[in-house]
Parts: sequence; structure tokens; C-alpha cells
Amino acid sequence: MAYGLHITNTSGDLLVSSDIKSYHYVGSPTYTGVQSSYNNYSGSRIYRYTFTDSQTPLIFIKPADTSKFYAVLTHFKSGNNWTYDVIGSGTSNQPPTLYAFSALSGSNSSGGYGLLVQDSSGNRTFDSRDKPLAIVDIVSAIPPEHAPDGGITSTSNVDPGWHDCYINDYRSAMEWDFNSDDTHNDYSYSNSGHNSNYMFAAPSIAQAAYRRNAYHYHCDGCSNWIQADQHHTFTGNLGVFYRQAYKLTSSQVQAGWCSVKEFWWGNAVKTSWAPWNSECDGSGSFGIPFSQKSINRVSNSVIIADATNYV
Amino acid sequence: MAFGIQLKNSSGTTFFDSTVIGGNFLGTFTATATNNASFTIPHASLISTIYTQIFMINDLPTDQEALAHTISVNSGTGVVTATAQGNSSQSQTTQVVIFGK
Repeated sequence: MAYGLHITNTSGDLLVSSDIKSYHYVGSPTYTGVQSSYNNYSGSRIYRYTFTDSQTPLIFIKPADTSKFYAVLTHFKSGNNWTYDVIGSGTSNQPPTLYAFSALSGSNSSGGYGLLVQDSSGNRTFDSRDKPLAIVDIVSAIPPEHAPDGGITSTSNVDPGWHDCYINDYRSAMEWDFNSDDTHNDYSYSNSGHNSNYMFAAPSIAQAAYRRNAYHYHCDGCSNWIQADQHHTFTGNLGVFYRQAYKLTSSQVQAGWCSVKEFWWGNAVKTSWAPWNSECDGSGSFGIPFSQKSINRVSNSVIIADATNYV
Repeated sequence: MAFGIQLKNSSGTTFFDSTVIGGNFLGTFTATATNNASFTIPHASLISTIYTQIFMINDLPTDQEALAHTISVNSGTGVVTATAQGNSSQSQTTQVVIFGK
């Protein structure tokens, strides 16, 4: 470099540079409430937060419960207004605390001591007075391919039997171990053992959906010429949608899944002639956007930092 | 410490210590839906390992097959490339955040 400042560690790796606008703490997004709840299988909550920033901040999660999976599910942007939906596993409300980091903007902070680094245009790139991001470790993590604890489902039809027009009675035959708490890949990280103070930045990119299919048919009277034919048909689908999420234990980053919602649909029809009639109902539709696969499943970086520096 | 840099907050607590810092932010860029984009890391020769983190902006979380860009890194040149995936209804705007250590 012809001018400026580089701070490197003993391995020669770059830590601070006047050419790079380091991330600094810019605030804590405001929690506005539970956006949706899902109480089947492992369950989940979607917590909503809002924040204002002209840049695209990096969002860290400090878990409310270190035994649960969390991840930033969505980043909605409208002008400078950001809305974040954060997913958390489980069937109780435990919203995490969020911390936002962006490059510095605006004029110098108050305070007459510390370290200020500027680029060639005089813009601040690092200012110790504005709580720069101090990373504990970076872990590259990917969840297992199939989200359900029971593994990938078979799309072959199961026969749920005939339960007349009671649609919900068909569901039990289609059940599967759709829980996801035990499905995760584990990674060690540096300076472990302090996870109760730690926060992590880890968006939910991967999505997964798995389904079970059901079909039943029988006919009363079809083999008896003195009895009117009566056809009984059931068609149904049960699917669960998942998003990638992370748990930070005392020694591991666990990359896993949260069940977000389910798609359940059944259609039972009983028809006969003499006189012709049809009973039961086939309203609604299954609606799952895809199934039997995970998408966006790539190694993504989990950034770990100490939240106590930014209280 | 015998060498390096320590920064302390106003309470005297060290929050930035060059001997234990586990990584550093290097840059970020946005790849809009259906378009490819790239970014060149400054001073890539001073980075041992480059990490990327991606997230989608304004995607629908549970009701669509939303595809993020795929990321490739040329550690020699420091060029990070985001390549759009899927069709126009699947491809999403993707934010790429780059770290090193």
C-alpha cells in the first residue's frame, strides 16, 4: 500500500485496513411480536423486528434459549426501513435479541481518545469509539440434506382405510417423524464455552419440503348384482416445510432445520347411482411449493461474536 | 500482550484484541434477481481464507421456491462472483457478505 493503515495478526492476516469499511454496531432492531406460530412436530415461532438503516446491515442473533435453533428468515427492505423475521424452534415464545452492524457513516463520534482510521477520501473506515465488530470465529456450515428426523419420505401412496367423511381421521396413517430437532451437522468453534454471551450472524437460506401421499378405494356392491354400486375414494397429502436454522451450544455450531408450517389436504368422496348421489367434500388444495428436496443448501458462514461488547 | 493491538471500551474492558480476533469483514455487495454480480476484495493477498455469507432480500419465506445466487471465490485474484439461479419467478436478490481470516 502507498499510504493508509493495515493491522495484521501474527499470521499476517488482515484485521483492520483503511481501504475496507469495517462493520460497527449501529443498534438493536425493535421486536414487534410473534408473526406466526407452528405447534406440530418440533414447532417454531417467527418473530418480527424492525430497523432503519440506509445500508444493508448484518444482523446478529443472541439466543433467548441456547437449546433452540434460530436464524434470520427474511430481510424485507422498503426504502431505509428493514423488517426482519427471525425463526426460532420450539412451541413457546422466546424471542432473541438482535444486533445490527453496518459500515460507518456520518460525522465523527464524540470522545477524544481511541483509534480512528480514514480512507483516502477522509471517510471513516474504523473507529474504536463506535464499537467495531470483533469476530470470535467464522464457521462454514451446511445442514443435512434431509430435514425430517425420520429421513426422506416416500411418495408411494399409503392406504389410510375408509373413515367416511371425517377427513382428519385419515391423517394418522400419513404421519411421519417430521420432527427436526435431531437433524443437524455439528462444527466446533474457537473460544467456546461462552455461548451464553455469544451472538451469531447466520441467515436461513436453505429450504426443504417433504410429503406423504395417501389413496384409498373400495366399492360396495360392485361384485353383487343385486346391490347398487357405491364407490369410496380418498386422496390426501401431508407435507411439512422447513427452513435452515442454527444452534450455538457451548462447544458447537449446529446447522439444522426448523419446521415452519405444514400442508395438509384430504378429499373423500362416496358416490353411488340409483339414485345418483355424492357425499363428502374435496374443497381446498395441497399447495406445497415443492417437495422431496432441499434447495439453497450450500455452505454458508456463521459469524460468532461476543454480545456483551455491544450492550 | 507482547505485541499487537488491544482496544478497550470506556469501562476499560478489552473488546478488540488482535491476538484473538477470529476474522474480519472484507466487503459486501448485492446481486439483484436474475443478474450476476461480482466484487473484488481489497488486499486479497493478506487473507488466508475467504468466507462468504449470503442472504436473500424480500423473498417470501414459505410460499415459493426461492433460489439464491451461487457463489464462487477466486482466492488468487480476490474476486467473488454471484451467479443467478432459476427462472425469473425463482431467482431472488441476494446479499453477499465477505469475511476473511
